[in-house]
Amino acid sequence: MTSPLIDFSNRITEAVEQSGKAIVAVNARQRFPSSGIHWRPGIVVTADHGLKRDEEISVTLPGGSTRGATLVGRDPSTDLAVLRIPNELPVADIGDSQSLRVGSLALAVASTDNGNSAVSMGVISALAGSWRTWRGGQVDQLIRLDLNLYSGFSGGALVSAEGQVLGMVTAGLSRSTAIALPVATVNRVVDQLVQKGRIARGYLGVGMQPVRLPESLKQSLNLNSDGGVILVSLENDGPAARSGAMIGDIVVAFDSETVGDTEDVLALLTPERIGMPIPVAIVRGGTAAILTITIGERPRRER
Amino acid sequence: MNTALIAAAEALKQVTVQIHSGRAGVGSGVIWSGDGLIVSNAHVVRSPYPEIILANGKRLKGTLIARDKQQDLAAVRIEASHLDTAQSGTSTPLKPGSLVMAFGHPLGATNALSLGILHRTTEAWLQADIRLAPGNSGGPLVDAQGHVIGINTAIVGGLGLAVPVEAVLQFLKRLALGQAVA
Repeated sequence: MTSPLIDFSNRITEAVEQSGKAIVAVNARQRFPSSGIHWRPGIVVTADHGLKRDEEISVTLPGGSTRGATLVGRDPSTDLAVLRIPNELPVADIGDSQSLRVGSLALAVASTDNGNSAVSMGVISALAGSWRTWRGGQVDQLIRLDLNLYSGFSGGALVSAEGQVLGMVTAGLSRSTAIALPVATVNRVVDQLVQKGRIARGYLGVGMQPVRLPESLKQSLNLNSDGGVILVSLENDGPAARSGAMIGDIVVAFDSETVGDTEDVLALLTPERIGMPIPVAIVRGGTAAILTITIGERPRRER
Repeated sequence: MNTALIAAAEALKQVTVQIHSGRAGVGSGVIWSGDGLIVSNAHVVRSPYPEIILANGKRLKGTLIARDKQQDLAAVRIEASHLDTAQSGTSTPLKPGSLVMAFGHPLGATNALSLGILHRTTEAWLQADIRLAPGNSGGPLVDAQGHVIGINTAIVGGLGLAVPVEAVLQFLKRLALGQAVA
């Protein structure tokens, strides 16, 4: 009847077919599989919240055959997990999330329990800069999607109309909207998990509480923030204690960034700062001082 | 693409009817033959003489001639001739991502078009990523060519579920052979 519609239809089915070759179903919870993307040879990324167990994980490949998968590592803070599978699938054609524009056609491509593609269509609804997830993970770009993420779609691919993978979709980072993690974030987390099996987090060895600074102190010390964080406990011989920190010190800046809440400090304890001497501005007894803290690595919690 | 969508909507309007049937509320139906055969859902047509409203506003008394609760299909006849009819297509060669359109009378709105894509193709139902509401039941789901590939029947988990056109043709075949369909 009308050829523009047929052209459009063919374009979408081609994009789904092409990208779907690198999408698997991940079986790591009861009844409902989630999806995963064959990101690098033998490496699958998936949504961490879809893994309800660390062992006896399998993936269903396009076409329906099943392979065992081993868990490389998981990062709940960005809702990413990495699996290793036999390298027999094509690797996803990964594009550049920076090329996304609001209004671009967006597809979410997932896999069903029998290895067939399932797809949802919409648009890129909003884009913004880097953000922190509710679980504290750092994400390089906010990609909000106007499309439905159906059951089993988390861990699937954000796919352009050209069939390129531009991120991993998940329903685990926002209650109200579909979110895609950009390529840069997935790459960074995959690198760290493959290297170390975990996401290293910086560590100070302190307990903190936010405090408001009195106006007079702000003026006398020429501080530009309303508050800081006060150290309420100190680990013996921890990174902060070794630098000479004392209980009652108020941290007002960390590596030249103003901090007003404990969250600000946590956000700055990035893996890159581990082992680095970082200048930390404090107020002690009404006077300003600078401590140099060599950032440690947060001890691994036993599961 | 805009022009094509508008043309598709206009064509679908001509072959989609409103069905009022007792307490079932408003549903939709598809004109299957020029002499007044209409296909809809069994759960839309719950009385022997449903009222049928054509796209031009004409109200007619329909007669239920077959009803299959299992497949959720119904056939209704109206006294008419030279009606525009839906063209039936095939659902089996369609792949996930194929463009689909639905037309019907959802939730009190009349003559509403919805646009979406085929979600997956493996089930006995066609599953579409498309926004539907209760009054869409009985209406057509068509492909990019405007050919009917299914009858919109249910909404489950946000997905539109349609009875595939192949099942509709089987149903009509049994009806033509005079086999009891009830």
